[in-house]
Amino acid sequence: MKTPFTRNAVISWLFFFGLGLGTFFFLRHINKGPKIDGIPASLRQGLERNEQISRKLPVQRVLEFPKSAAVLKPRANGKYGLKTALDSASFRMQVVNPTSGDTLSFTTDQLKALPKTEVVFDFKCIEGWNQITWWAGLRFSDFIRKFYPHLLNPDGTLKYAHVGLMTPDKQYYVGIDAESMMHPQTLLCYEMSGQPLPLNQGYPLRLIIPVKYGIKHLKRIGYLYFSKEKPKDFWAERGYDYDAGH
Amino acid sequence: MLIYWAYPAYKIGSWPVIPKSWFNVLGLESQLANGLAYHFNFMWILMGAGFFYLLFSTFFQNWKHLVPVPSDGKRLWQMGRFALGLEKEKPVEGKYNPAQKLAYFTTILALALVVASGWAIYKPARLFWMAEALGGYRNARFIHFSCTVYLVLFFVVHVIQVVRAGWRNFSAMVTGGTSTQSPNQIP
Repeated sequence: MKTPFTRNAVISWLFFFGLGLGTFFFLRHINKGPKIDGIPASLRQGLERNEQISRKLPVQRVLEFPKSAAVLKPRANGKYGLKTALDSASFRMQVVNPTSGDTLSFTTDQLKALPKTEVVFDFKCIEGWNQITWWAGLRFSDFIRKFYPHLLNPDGTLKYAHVGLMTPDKQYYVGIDAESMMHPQTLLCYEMSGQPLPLNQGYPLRLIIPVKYGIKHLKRIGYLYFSKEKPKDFWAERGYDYDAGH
Repeated sequence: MLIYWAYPAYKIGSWPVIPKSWFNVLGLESQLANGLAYHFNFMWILMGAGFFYLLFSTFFQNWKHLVPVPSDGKRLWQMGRFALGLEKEKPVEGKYNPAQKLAYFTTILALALVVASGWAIYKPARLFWMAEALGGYRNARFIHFSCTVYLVLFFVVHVIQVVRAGWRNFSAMVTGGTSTQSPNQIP
């Protein structure tokens, strides 16, 4: 006995094959279409929409752990921007003042003279691994309040939407939204596991930003600048989510 | 697998759940960024489909056919005996037999868990309570992975069973008719 070809059955079959074909062409359309920074443009727009949605959720402090829970020698991923030899005597973090255009240079000792903040948190890599790690440094928000108070709005937020960071050789660079930079757990970090940073972890100064994936924790901060536009970002240019936030 | 390639952490004993060679054979290496981009877009399709499924299922009360009831245990035992040839009489079945009910119901559960654990590891700061509810970030990642493996296994077995059940059953799946009117079927 054959399946009777009633009107409903015909509609069902058309729907079934339509769905199959539709899926095929939909995927092909995404894949063959234009790309933005290594991924299909439509997916990039989707990531940006996701970012807008997640920003509506309240900002949280990342969970902190006792120091005893920390891995003392955390994994060191990524050497981009660290391949040039470091001249630690002449090392400075250069910060461009967006209003005057002047550049100020900071030594690590200048930053160490200010109150130290410690963070023990679960460091998460975009590859999928995570480690509880222990860092210490100067809160970025404390740094701004001390040296650049004129860049703050009365409510304590930054007047610029983005902050950009680069290694001294400009080979590695990240762009971060101001809200995440001003987060109380974001550090200009000079210590790891109670010791000065090792070279492969960004000695003498790196960024620790627990509300973002590891790709944003730039090692060896050579330059820091403020921007109204999104600063260029190494891994976003290679297909990753620009926000990369938690 | 595009994503899992970057950190294939899970092992059974000393055997990786997905061996390195599989990625190489399928050409799936070094595409983490692409994989993530698809993942974070297509998650909305999965959630949308899930939402409509729950909506229709509630409206037409279809869930009543799926939620296992205590008597299913005994019927499952009878089915197992029949399948092994220990019982000659085919057990009485409803719209779905108890094995189907168990498979479909756990699949719906796994889909719900995949979505929850996915959000827990996607936004572990803003949605930290989701990761906490699932036993932490690492656990949530494990749940996400295990449920995915379960869903893939379900898919494979499901397709095999549909092929085994034959063309008329398949056309009934598509058109929504009934495939057979066997005497041992209860309405």
